[in-house]
This record gives sequence, C-alpha cells and structure tokens, in this order.
Amino acid sequence: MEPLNIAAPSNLDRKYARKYPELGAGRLPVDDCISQEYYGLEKKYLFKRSWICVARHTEIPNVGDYLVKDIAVLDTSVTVVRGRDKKLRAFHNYCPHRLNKINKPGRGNCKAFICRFHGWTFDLDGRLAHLDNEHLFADFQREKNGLHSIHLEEWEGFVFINIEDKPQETLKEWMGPMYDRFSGYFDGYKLTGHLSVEMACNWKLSIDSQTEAYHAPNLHARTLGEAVSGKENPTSLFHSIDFHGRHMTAATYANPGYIPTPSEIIAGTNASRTLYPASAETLDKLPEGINSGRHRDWIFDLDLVFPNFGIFPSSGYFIAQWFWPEGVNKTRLDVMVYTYEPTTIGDVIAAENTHVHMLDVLREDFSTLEGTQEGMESGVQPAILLCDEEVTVRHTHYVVDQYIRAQRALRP
Amino acid sequence: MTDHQLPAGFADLEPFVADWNIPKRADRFHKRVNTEYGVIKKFYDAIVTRMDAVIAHLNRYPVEEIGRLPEAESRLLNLAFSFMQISAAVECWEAPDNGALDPDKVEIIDCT
Ligand code: FES
Ligand SMILES: [Fe+2]
Repeated sequence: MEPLNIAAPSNLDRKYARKYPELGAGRLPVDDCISQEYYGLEKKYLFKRSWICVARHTEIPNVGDYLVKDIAVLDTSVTVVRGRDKKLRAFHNYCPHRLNKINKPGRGNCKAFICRFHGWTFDLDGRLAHLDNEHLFADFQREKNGLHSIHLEEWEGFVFINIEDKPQETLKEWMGPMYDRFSGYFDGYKLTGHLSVEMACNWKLSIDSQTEAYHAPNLHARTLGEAVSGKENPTSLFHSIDFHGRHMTAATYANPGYIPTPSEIIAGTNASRTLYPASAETLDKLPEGINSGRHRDWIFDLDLVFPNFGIFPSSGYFIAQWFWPEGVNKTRLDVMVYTYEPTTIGDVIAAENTHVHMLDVLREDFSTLEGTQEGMESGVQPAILLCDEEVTVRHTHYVVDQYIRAQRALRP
Repeated sequence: MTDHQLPAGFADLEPFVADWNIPKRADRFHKRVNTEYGVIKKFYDAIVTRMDAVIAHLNRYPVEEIGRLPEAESRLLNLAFSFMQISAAVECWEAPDNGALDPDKVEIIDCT
C-alpha cells in the first residue's frame, strides 16, 4: 500500500484545522483521561450541571411504570416514573426519612413507592402519602417531606434529567441547533437489542473510539471496513463533521463498490425496508439533520449529544449509546439498538443480521479501550497525536474542558 | 425425538436442530464462539442456500405471531437466527470469533 499523504502540502488538506482553529492542531495531553483530580472536576462541574439523557420514553410507557438507575457520576440513584397524569417525573431514590435507598436498580410497575425501612409510602408524583406515628415527629409537615424531585425534560422521546436545583438552561437551550434536526425520526423504531459492558477506561476514550472513522479500515478490516472505505476513499474520510455548540454530528461514507456478503444479501432481499445500503427512497425520507448533505454513499451519522449520549442514526435502524463514567478509568457502556417496526417475520430475521454484526463491530471498537487507557497511564508519552479527521476527538476533550472552566468561574 | 422437528420441506436441515435451535440471541452468540469452526461451516453450507425458502415459509405467519408459532416453525425461526449469528464467522473471518474482545465481557440483554 502507498504511504498516505506524506507529500501533502502541510496545511492545505487540513480543512478542519482551518475551520476550527480554536480546537488547536497540536498534541492532545492525556491528563484529562488519567487524573483522578480531573475526574472530580468532571463530576462536580460537568455532569452535576448538565442535562443527562437517562432513557427513552418507550421504556416506561404506562402509568406506574418506573425505572431506577444508579448514576455513579452524579453520586445518586434516580427513579423515573410515569404518573397517573401520564407525565414522567424523576426523583432521587432515597427516602427523606433516614435516606434509605428505596428501589433497586431496574424496571417495574407500581401504584406507590414504599420504603421498606419504616414503611413511608410515596405517590407516583412523589408526595408522601402515608407514614406511621406522624404525630411523634416534631413540627412535621407531610407536604415538605416527599421524594426529592429532579428536573426532567424530554427531547424527541429521550428522557433527560438535570440534578441542579435550578438548571441554568432549558433542555431546548441545552440542545441548541441539535433540537430540531431529528424531528420525528426516532418514532418509527423499536428497541430490539441491548448490550452492556464495563471497560477499564476513561469515559471520553470510549466516546473517542466511536466518533472517528479513521480506524474503520484497520480495526474493522474484516467486518465493517470494506463497507465504509474503498478505492475513492481508502481511509474512510467523513463526508462532513459539524459542531453544533457542544454537540456534534458527522456523516459516514459508504463504499458504493462494496459487495455485500451472502447473509447481507439474504437480509436485504427479504426485508421490507433495506437496512444497508440505504435505498434512495429511505434516504429522501430522512429529516434534514440526518445525512444533511444527502449523500447517496452514506451509511450512518455519528452524533454526540454533550456530554455523554451518542446517537448513530441510519436509514433502517439507529443506535443510542450511553457512555457512563464510573471512575477515572472505569466506564459502563450501554448500547441500545432500535430497528424499524417489522411488518413480516422476514424483517425480524433481517434485523438479526444487523444485531449480530453490530455486536461484532462494537466488540472490535471496545477491544482498544483498555489498552489505550493503559498506554496513557504508562506515562510513556504525555500527549497523543491526532490527524485532521480525528478533530472529533479534539472537540470532545475541548468542550468538556471549556465547560468545566466556565462553570468553575461561574460558581466555584 | 421424532424425525420431524421442522416443517415439511426442510428435512435437509433436521440434523442441525439439536445444535442450533437456540431461542435467545445471547445463547446463540456464546454457542458460536464456543463451537469448532468445522461444525459452524457445515451448518452454514447447509442453510445458506435455503434461507430464502426458510424466510418465505415463515412469512406465511403474521409477524405479530412470532412468539406463538407452531413448534416446528419456531425451531425453523431459531435456525434462521442462528444462521445470521454464524454468518460472519464464515463470511468474514473463517473462525468462530473475530478475536476482538473476550466474549464473556459483553452482556447481551434480552429485549423481547
Ligand atoms: S428510611 Fe425510609 S421509612 Fe425510614
Ligand atoms: Fe468503530
């Protein structure tokens, strides 16, 4: 193979460096991925002062449906519940009496929340409905001792929480230019796959590995590689990378010369809607924000909702991915795969093809994470090198750092 | 066990029912990575040219009934899912697994 770009005139090809000079072009220090102190700053100034996506509304569709999540990076456990008025609400999952943890992580349906310790009972809207010996508590006001509520807002069916007493921005302000890009896109899809894995790496590394395509022809050489690189684009350059404030979208190239495998052909010809490659008809139906350049040779977008929620929309499926920090070098990754509502059993079998290949591709992505963390902690090199196409990585670390600095200045 | 575990017309796939009639995705994945490549390849070769017929047969049932198919059809469906599960082993890396990440590290959670 020819060496790539060695003779390229120094700056002419580096279009993103020219477009986003604030992101710099030098080496990126590794400190923010290995420093315990920095992780503390991320918890305090970033995650505890951000809108954080916790679920999709379809996970809790009925009155009384609830989900409970321990969120280490917020130092709390959260209950999200659908009330009698069908509205979603979020609460800290600790009893106001003596702070016992009320629900175990997971999902369920109930009429009320009961703390097992002394039996305090809370309505679905968080109000304290019953307790024994009320008269033995001094100056007791029942209305003031309900569950501790958390701000909750929805965007396109995704449920976000913000644990600040008073969020600095509405979710709409937080999403900024991302808010209207997807209008209605997610509605026709159904959750059909869920993977979860814990990796010994910093959460930003797991985002970095999923939000650049430079690795695809190598790391995915035997899976996705040929589908996203080819003669015209051997290193899988993005069609476009766009930053929308703190958020990001990138459109990934598909190789028009790719020859599908027999199983992909079986899936494609027997499905009522193609998963890959996207047909012209499904491409045209996508909202403007997805594959915004309307490229025919497109496979999916890689989008990141700041700070830790990934969305990878395609034409027959989308992936929602949560990057949950659990420590400076510990991350829980939750990947939810949504496929279009099937109209035949053939559709379900075709979707299975997508699920199994996705799993193998993601396992290739994940396989780099612990080694990279180890390399960073080895001290062998204080900073990493990034090519222009890896500007997405620069951006992720930059916006995290900028946010922490701004919040620190605002309220130390 | 009788001779007819699959719908009429799929007798050639009967020998694979014992190994590949696996209802859950997680179990199919672990079966793949823990099975000798030769065994995988044999199943692949037998079913790859039959998949269109398998799907055509199953498409006679409405998708809403996918969880309540007759037993023979339900086994056939699981074979079709297993075919998808093993396809990359044959088509991409000629081994049970791609050797990427320890298969036991990933939790595959059922969504049905
Ligand atoms: S701690 Fe919950 S009722 Fe006492
Ligand atoms: Fe990847």
